[in-house]
Amino acid sequence: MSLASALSTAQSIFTNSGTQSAVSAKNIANAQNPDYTRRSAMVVTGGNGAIIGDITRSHSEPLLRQTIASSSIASGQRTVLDGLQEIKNLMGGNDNELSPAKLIAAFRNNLDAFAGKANDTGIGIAFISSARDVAAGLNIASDKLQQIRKDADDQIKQNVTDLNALLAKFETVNNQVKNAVSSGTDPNDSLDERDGLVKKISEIVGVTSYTRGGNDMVLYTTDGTTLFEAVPRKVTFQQTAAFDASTTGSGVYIDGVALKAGDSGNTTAKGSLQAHMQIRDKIAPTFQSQLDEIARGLITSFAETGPTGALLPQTGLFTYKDGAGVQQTAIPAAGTIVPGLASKIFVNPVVVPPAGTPDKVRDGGINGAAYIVNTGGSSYGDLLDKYNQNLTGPMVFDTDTEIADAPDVLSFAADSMGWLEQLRSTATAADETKTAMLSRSLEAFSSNTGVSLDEELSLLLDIEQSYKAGAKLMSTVDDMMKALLDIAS
Amino acid sequence: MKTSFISTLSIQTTMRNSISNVQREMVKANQEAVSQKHADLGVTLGANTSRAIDLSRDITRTDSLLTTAALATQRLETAELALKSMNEQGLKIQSAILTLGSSADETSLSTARMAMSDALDAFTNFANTAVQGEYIFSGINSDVKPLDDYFAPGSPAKAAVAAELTQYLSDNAIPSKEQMTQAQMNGFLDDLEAKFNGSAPLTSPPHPAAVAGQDFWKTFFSDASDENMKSRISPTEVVESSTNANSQGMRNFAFASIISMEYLQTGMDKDARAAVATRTTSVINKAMNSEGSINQQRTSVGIYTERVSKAEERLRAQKDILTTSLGSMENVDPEEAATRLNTMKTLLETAYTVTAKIQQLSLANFL
Repeated sequence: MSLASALSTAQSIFTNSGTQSAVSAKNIANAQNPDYTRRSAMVVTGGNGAIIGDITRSHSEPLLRQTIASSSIASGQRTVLDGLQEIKNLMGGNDNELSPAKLIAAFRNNLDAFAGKANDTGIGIAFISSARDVAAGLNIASDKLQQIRKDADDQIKQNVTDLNALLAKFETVNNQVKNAVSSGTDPNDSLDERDGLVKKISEIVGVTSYTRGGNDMVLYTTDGTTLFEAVPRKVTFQQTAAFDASTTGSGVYIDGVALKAGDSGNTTAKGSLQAHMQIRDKIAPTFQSQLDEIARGLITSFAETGPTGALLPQTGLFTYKDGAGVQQTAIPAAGTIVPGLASKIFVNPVVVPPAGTPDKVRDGGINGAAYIVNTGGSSYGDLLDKYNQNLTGPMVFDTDTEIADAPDVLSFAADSMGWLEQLRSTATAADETKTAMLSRSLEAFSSNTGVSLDEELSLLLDIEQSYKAGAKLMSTVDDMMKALLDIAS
Repeated sequence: MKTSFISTLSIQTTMRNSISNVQREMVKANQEAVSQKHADLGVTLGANTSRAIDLSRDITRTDSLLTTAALATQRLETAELALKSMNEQGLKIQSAILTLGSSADETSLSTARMAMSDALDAFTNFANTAVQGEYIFSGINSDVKPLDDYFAPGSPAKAAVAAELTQYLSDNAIPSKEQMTQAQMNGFLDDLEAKFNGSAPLTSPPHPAAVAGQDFWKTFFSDASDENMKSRISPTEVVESSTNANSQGMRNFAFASIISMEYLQTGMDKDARAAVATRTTSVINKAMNSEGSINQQRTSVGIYTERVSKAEERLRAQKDILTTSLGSMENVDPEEAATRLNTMKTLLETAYTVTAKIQQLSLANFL
């Protein structure tokens, strides 16, 4: 060993300190970047003393997987909850004041009042006005519900576009990683970026990743469909221009395989795509079918059957239009959903003042003279009372509504709110759990892979110390060399 | 190599999350303390929302049934008052006939006639009682005054009675009513009474062919419907909340007062007059106290009133129960919410203090 070799060893201290400071500086700079994984410069024995062998990332595959899984679960649940919240908002605030159930209750109070004092035109007009509120409430709820389906459809389109863009970017970054690995350069920045992309993809669709030789990453959806292998797989979706109750939205295909919609309040949806599909294809259509059955129940309850009840039942106070906008008189078949009836129901114009008169509801005869029941006088309340009883009379509902066991139309309307709130309640509880799980995994992931400023600072102190020691070493060797040269001169 | 398993970012995020959690809870607690209901009823109740809606619907239904019942009570009480007054008028007719006895002088007769016409006039007024725009003795035809005024000029009722007399006189070849014997008078009164109480239909002549075969009373006297107004006073019970002027009692009252007013004349045969007086007494008794009489109508009105008041009692009790059940579902204890709010406040203050302290802690400050 010579003084010269001691000198070059001291030199390597400077090189190493430089690299270590650079790594620390980068760590400190990225302390607030959630996608950044902390680097450390590994010092190994070699060369003249020590060299920086490798710059390693404090990577944790299990924690990343956990984070990705919980992020897609939380994102799916959040999307379902938002959709349910939006539907709930159609029904008003805490008291559900815009819900068909509440509107029908108010309508029925006016019906009670009118039956009790049937000669009072003022009460009759109030009764018709509340009937119109019910019909308008159903129309608006139904139309807005279809708008929510349309919005979900647009969101799906947006998600699919984003997903395709993310996959294209993923391909670029994945190639950068592969190139860096094969050419032996530092792949760390690309790796960070790739992990970040996987996290973003997981918010849209549930994803599992698998790393092959050469650090090549393969992505599958949680259902097992290939999302990315060497090249991104095509995600296709056909947007629907307009929605009504009988429209079926088109499916999302990943690599030709249809993506399944999520299910139930504590949703099975992983990622926002499945959740949007659940809103569009399951929750909103079921709620629509309930609105339609409420509309059918109202039309049926107020059907006119003539003085003896033997005439062909025809639509009375509430009637509806067909697809072409023509007013109908036939009563829809019992126990069967008529898609979109809730958006087509309206109050028969012949009973709406000023052109019409509420007395036609009281006396019958909306469908012509044969249907007139009362000829006795203006305080006749029996027919109104019969309609009122019909509202609580037994009625059969379509099982597709999921609440078909309701005995009458009033309970059905209330059960419909119960159905919605049940879903929302479950979804809210699930959202709390899943969000907590996500923040827990993010915390664990960040604790494991993120930067601690204090740690970096204390490491910097170490680096400073070793730099000072190197400088001291150098000056000592310099002194010794100088002493040697002095002897020689 | 990583040596510490906590990152600056995760410390900050955790602190931020804990603060925002407490803040969210605070907003909720605040809302609950003020509104005394759960902040988000739908989330709290879940599927029970339908039960809450059912309950609140039943409560408003009970309210509207109570309104209907109050309306029915008002009708029935008014009807009772009017019927009671009619009964008093009946008693006046009875006493007028008793007072008259067998007197034949014009003064006594005209006093009796005056008493009869006063009674009929008062009777008509009571029968035409209206409350809140409804004639309560009109049945369901409540927009129309039930009884025509016998004393109005050109009264069809008066003309119809006169036409019946003229027809009887000409059928039996009697020159004038003054010449009627007791038997003839009884025959005429039998005939007219049958017409009044509806057991004999109208004939043509003397009446127009269009009304032949119809009920004398309903054609000339009453516009009331036989069908009474009804009120639903509970989800399962409908009561009649009015009565009508087509009852036998009303018909008999009018018959008794009209015959005594018209035929207790000085010029008439004494025996025929006695027949009129006897008939008046018997018919006014029937008007007050037999099948379909005014007092029977009072009894039914009384029964209906009692049923309505019982139903009201039941409805009130039911409403209390429903309100309690709904309250136990929807309400929160405001004290509890306020206490929770206070605890949250303390928690939040602690979180702020700790956050500020931790944020100040950095190795950089000591270098």
